[in-house]
Formats: sequence, structure tokens, C-alpha cells
Amino acid sequence: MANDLLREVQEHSLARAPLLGLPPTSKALLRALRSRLTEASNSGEILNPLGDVLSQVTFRPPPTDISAAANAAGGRKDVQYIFGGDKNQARVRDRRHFERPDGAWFDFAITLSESKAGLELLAFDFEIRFSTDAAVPFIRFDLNLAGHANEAREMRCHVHPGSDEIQVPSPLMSPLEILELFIVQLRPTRVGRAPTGFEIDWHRAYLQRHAPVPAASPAVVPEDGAAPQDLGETDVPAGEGEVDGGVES
Amino acid sequence: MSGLIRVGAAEVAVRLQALSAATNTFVAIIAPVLLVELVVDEIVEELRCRFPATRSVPDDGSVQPLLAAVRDNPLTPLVARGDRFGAGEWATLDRRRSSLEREGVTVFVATEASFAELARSAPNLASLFGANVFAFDPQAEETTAAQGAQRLEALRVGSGRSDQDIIDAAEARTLPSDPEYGEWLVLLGRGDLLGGE
Amino acid sequence: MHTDPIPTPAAPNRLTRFRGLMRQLSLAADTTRALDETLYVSFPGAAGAKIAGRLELRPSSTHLLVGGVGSGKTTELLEIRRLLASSDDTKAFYLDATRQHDISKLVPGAVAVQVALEIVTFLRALARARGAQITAQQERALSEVERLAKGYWFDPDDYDERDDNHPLFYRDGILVAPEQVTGRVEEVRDALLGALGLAGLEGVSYVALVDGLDRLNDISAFKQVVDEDIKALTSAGVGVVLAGPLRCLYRADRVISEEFEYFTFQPWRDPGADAVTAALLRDLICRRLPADALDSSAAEKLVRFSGGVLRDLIALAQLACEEAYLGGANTVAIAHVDTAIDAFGRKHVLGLQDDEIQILERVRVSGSFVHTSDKELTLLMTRRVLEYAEGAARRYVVHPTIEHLLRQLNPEASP
Repeated sequence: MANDLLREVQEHSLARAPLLGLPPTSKALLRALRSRLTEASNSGEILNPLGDVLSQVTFRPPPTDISAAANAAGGRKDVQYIFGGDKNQARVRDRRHFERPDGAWFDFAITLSESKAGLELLAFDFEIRFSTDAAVPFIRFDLNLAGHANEAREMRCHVHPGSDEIQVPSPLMSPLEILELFIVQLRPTRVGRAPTGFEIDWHRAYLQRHAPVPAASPAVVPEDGAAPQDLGETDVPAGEGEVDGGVES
Repeated sequence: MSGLIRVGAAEVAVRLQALSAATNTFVAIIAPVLLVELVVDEIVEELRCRFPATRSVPDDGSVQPLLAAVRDNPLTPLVARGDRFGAGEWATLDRRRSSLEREGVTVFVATEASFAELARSAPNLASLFGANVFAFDPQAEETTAAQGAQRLEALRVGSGRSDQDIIDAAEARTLPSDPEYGEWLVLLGRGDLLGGE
Repeated sequence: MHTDPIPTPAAPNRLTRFRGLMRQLSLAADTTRALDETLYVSFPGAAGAKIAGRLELRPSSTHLLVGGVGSGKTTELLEIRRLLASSDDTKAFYLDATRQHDISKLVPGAVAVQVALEIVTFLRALARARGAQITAQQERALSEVERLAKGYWFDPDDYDERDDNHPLFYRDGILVAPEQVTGRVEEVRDALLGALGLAGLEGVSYVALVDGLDRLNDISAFKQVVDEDIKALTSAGVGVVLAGPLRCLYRADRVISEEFEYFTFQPWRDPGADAVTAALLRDLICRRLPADALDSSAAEKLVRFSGGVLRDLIALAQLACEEAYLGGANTVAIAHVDTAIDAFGRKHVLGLQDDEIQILERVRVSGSFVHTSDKELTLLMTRRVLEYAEGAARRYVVHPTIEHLLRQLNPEASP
């Protein structure tokens, strides 16, 4: 019954596909994404100069050297991708990305198929990471590959709300819509709400479990809900394959 | 190609978005002879994202279509082939330089040889290009080999798996459905394993 | 619960700002508009003021103005027009002789009739403005110029209105879009005199500021204009300022300048050798780019590497601005200027052949340049070699933007 529910939710989500208004070619989508980012650079919505936008939004056309085996298997020959920024599973700032003035930063990858019928989204991931103004470290919009046996359990179209393990069903959105969310909309809706004692204890326990460090001075949470004192910097080693304070995806 | 600044069609459009505020503006894009037509089309497509009325000038090897287009389109960006213009054509355009003056920007796509001839035969017109002479980079917008390698390495380290593991899993239809696995296969040139129609 | 995102302060739009800067960096004067006085910088001994001063004293004098490509000849002609605009008894017209006539097919009368047309157009407008009735005699005089310019049907014999079969012959107009023209300079002059004799306009002098012929490669065609058209205009009492080809300065073509009462050469000025020039060029570029858009050291470098060529100064500034725009900077800095200098230089050497490179290298190393051949003259015309006039002496340098490129090609030569 739970699977039926998720399946219905997913069908509802994916039913939006014809309404996405995708341009007919991947080149046209690339141009549209780049135009929006160019506009964002000029208006100050992102800090990246135009040169960055031009060099960081790239695409790869379908390969011409399809193997004979691939041809015989009747596999897809028309798959392309569009990237915005570098691959950054470790979430380190020295990888190329786009950055907002409020410190949020993001990148994306889109896998597409282009045919006479038009453009089809095969998969994407758009991830935005926040400064501590927000209550979550990151949000990622994923469109998984289709046709997998576990689809009933894992939503093909979902959001990771600050956790690589938790997925929440999300409506199917076009890359341009998600980009707009990242540039303009996804921001803290209010300032300065103090975390509850539950949240503080939870974060402490999480860090202790996954990246134990020498005990730092404990935060004191005033009962009147005022902003807590700083917990102090945690020194978490990070590198490829490891996420700061997190589990590898 | 002579160390000129290398640009793709997208960068041409971004530059022109600012540059086109100046009047009597001419830009030259130097391309290999076999790519000239393609470059004209790409630049027109990119410019249309910002200047929807952008036109390419019909090409019959003479200067007449250009002179007509300039006369009829005082504001619209025009993209013209200059690869087939020789000394005579450039000299004519030099004499008729005043007829080419307008508010809209004019982009010439030329070969290195034809631009050199322009510089020799049309010094007045050549001086109006200023420093806006660029070499076309057909791969400017494509992911470089280095960028692709960075992504592949990140995927390998992030998952602890090898390229062959991924290909084997895709062939066995046991590949996880996370979007990065699709990207991984495409980067390996095996987008065909993403499932047939 | 409040759900709107926290608003972020609006940043000024960079595209809008840089378009505003680019608007001030056009490479050619817009001849349809009045010269923008805020952008014009007057150099000591500038041609425009000098010639305008002479025309005020002698409106029917003739002047040949010669200068390199991009030296600002058109700007000086427009400046003359501006300076004479306040005169009640002198009317100056600017015209580009290439707009209505194909100058590859220059024939006697082609330039004179364009000047005459300008005057006729002015007289018609003046009559309209005054509400004056044009008499039949005046109309014939005005129309004659127009007919000579554009062509008309005529009957060589007396016209017999009773005979429907009486043949008409067509006399070609002087102006040529396609092929055939005939020169009839005297007719133009006579027609012009008739138009000028209109009552109520005595005491007004006319000056023609003729641009465009400096692009002529065929010096004999230019000489023909001087021998026929300019003479015709001056005999009708019209003053002339003619922008001529740089070739008039060199070799046997120098004699052409002797046909004019005054000859003005607009040379390049070396900002590296002349502090006044450097300051004026700096002033020129700073009028176009405000202080918050152009770094002071960047402005100096632009001036130095322009070689004193006004158009190249603006061209370098234009590309440096583009680089700043792309790079996210709000101010044009040295790094942007360096990119512009390199790009300009590389464009400037595109397609040069080995013997041309050798000539340039000789100029770079020793300053030695003897323009005896067409090839050498072309290097001068195309501003790969710059000629500075220092009194009667001439000094030659390679354009500053190509110096480092030549050095790379020949590193063993002295700097």
C-alpha cells in the first residue's frame, strides 16, 4: 500500500514532463541556462563574472565513436550532458561553482537525450549549499535514471533536504526552473531564529558519531530563545569521497 | 591561429551585448575556411538570444547583399561571410565605407587570408575593427578533456568503484539509478548503456 | 508565517553600465550628428581651428587636409563646421563625396555637383523658412543643378508640342550608381552661379567640407577632381576644404598640394616624446571613460600604446573595457589594457609577409624607413609604421602594439 502511494505520487510528479516547456535541442537548453546565468552575473544575483559563466557552463555532444557492441545492443546513441561547474561530491569550495552574494553556492549536471521527438531529461542533479544563515547545509534536486527496479522505493524525482540519505518526493521541474529557484528563491525566509535544544543536541550527536573531534566548549542555549553562543570551529578533514561532517554519497 | 583571442559563439554574443552600444562597430571572427558557414550559423543563433532580429547576410561572393542589408537594417546586428572577398571586394567596401556606417553591429566571419587582404586593400575599413578581431574556437563551449577527467576521478573516488564496475553493472542492469551514474556512463562514452528505446 | 525570501539589495546592472561606457567609445565620428563638444579635444595647432580661422578671413579659399587613417580628419571637418556655424555670412556644408557617387568612377563634375546640390538644398530650405516665394527664374536655376546631378530628358531641337512623335533624348545625370557618366563641370559651375545669384542672399559665402576622397587609391582620379571640380567651385566663389589621400604627401604626388592655397597635414603625435600630446590624449580618453571606470595607470598605458593614433587609442580602450566587463571588474585596469594591446598587435600583424616583417624590424631597430615602394607606403597607410613630424624632420617607429611581437620574432636584434 505504501508502494502504491509512492507510485501514485511519482506518476503525478512525472506527469508534468510534457509541461516543462523544454526547448527542442540540448544546445538551445544550454543557451537558455547560460543566458540566465549571464543575466544573473550582470545583475549581481551571482558573484561569478561573465568569463566564469562562459567557461563553467559546458556541454558534451553525443559521441561519434559508438562501439559496434553498443550499436548492436540498440542502446541510446543520442545522450548528451550539460554541466554547470565541476563535479563536487566532497563539497569543497575550490571546485568551480556558482556563488550568490549571501554565500550560497551551487553547481549542476544534466543528462539529456535529443531526438526528432524533442528533448528528454534522462537525469539531473542540482545542488545548492548554504551558509549558516540557513538551517540546512545543502539541498539537492535529483532526477534519477528511469527504468530501475527500485523505482517503487526510491522516488525518481526527489529532493535531498540537507541529507544524502533522506529523499523527499518533488515535482518534476525543468533545469531552468530549478536554476531560477537557486538564483532567486531558495533562501532563508527569516533571519535569526535560534535553533532549538533538540537541533543543537542532534547536530552535536551527529558530528560526534560521524566525525569525532576533541570536545569543544559547549554552547549555552538561553531559555528565552536568544541566539546561542558560537560552538567553535570543528576541524573536520575533508577530501574527495568525504563530505565535511557527512557520509559519502 | 596567430595568438588572437579565441572565442566561441557564446562569448561573441556576450561581448556584442555591451559593444553594440557603440556606433559603426565591426567585429571579425577568423575561422578555418571549412567552418565559415557553420560559424556564421552559430553566431546568428547565439546573437538571436539577445538580439532576436539578428540576420545573416545572403552570400553570393559579391558585396551587394551586404550593402543592401546594411542599408535596409540600420539597427539590426548582421553577420556576413567575408571569406570569399578578395582585394577588389574589400577595396569596394573601403570606398563605400560611409555606406556601411550605422548603429547596428556588423560581424564578418573570414579566414585569416581574407582578413589579411582586408587589411591590405581596405585600410579605412580595417581601422574600424579596432582590436575586435578574434579566432573562433569550435570547442569553446564543450567540456574539456581535463574537466571530463576531473569529473570521472571525482565519481571514482566518491563511490569507491572503477569505470569497469560501472559498465559491468549497467550491462547487468544493476546500476544504481542516481543521476551521477548516468553522467559516469556518458563521460565514458557509453551513454548507449542507459537503456534502449 | 512569513514565507517570502529575505530580499537582497539590488546591485547596479553591469551590462547597463558597460553599454553606457561603450557608447562613448565609437571608433568613427557620426557625421549625421553635430560634433559632441564634450568629447572633442583640441590639440595645439589643430587643423580644424586653423582652417576655420583662415576661412573666416577668406571664405573662398581652398584647403587640402591630409592625415593618416584614423587621424581624425572627419572630426576636424565637423569641428570646422561647428566653428563656422556662428558666422552670419559664411555657411559651411559637410558632405561625404562617397555617399551619392561611386568614387571608383570619378568623372569631372561629380564632386562639384554634389557641393552644388547641398547649396541648392540649403537655399530651398531657407526660402521655405522665410516663407519666400521662389520665382520661375529662381526655380530654373535651382532645378538646373538637380537636373545636372540626377539626369533628365531633353530635346536637342526645339520642342514642337503638336508633334506626338517628336523624339526626346535623355541626357545622363553626372552622378553614377551604375556605369555611364559624362563630366560637365562648366555646366555645373554655371548652374551653381545661377542658383547663388538668388536675390536676398548676397553677401553669404559658402564653404564645402568634402570628406571621403582620402580613400582613393587612384591618385590620378583625385588629381582630376582637384583640377576640374575644385577649380569650378572656387570660380563660383565657393570655399573648399578637401580631405585628401595620404599619398599626396609622398613622391611625385606631392605636387597636388600645390593646387591649394593652404595645405594642412595632420600628423600623428608621439605621446612618448611629447608631454603635451600625452596629456591631451589622456584627457581625450578620460572624457570618454570616467574616473571610476578607468584606472589612472591603465589610461597612461592606453595612451602610450596608441602611438598617438586617436582611433587606435579608442580601439584599445574599447577592448580593454570588454575585458573588464567579461572579467567582472568595474574598472578598466592594467591587466585589461595588456590584453587589449596584445590582441590589437596580433591583429595588426595578421597576414604580413616576410619582406614586410623585415621592413618593420628595420624600422623598429634603427628607425630607418624609406617609402619608395608601394609595399612600404602600404605599411604607412595601414599604420604598421607611424610617421611623426618634428618640424621639417620625420621620425618613424613601428606601431607600439606590434613592437613586442616583432621582438619575439627576432630576439637577437637590439631592442
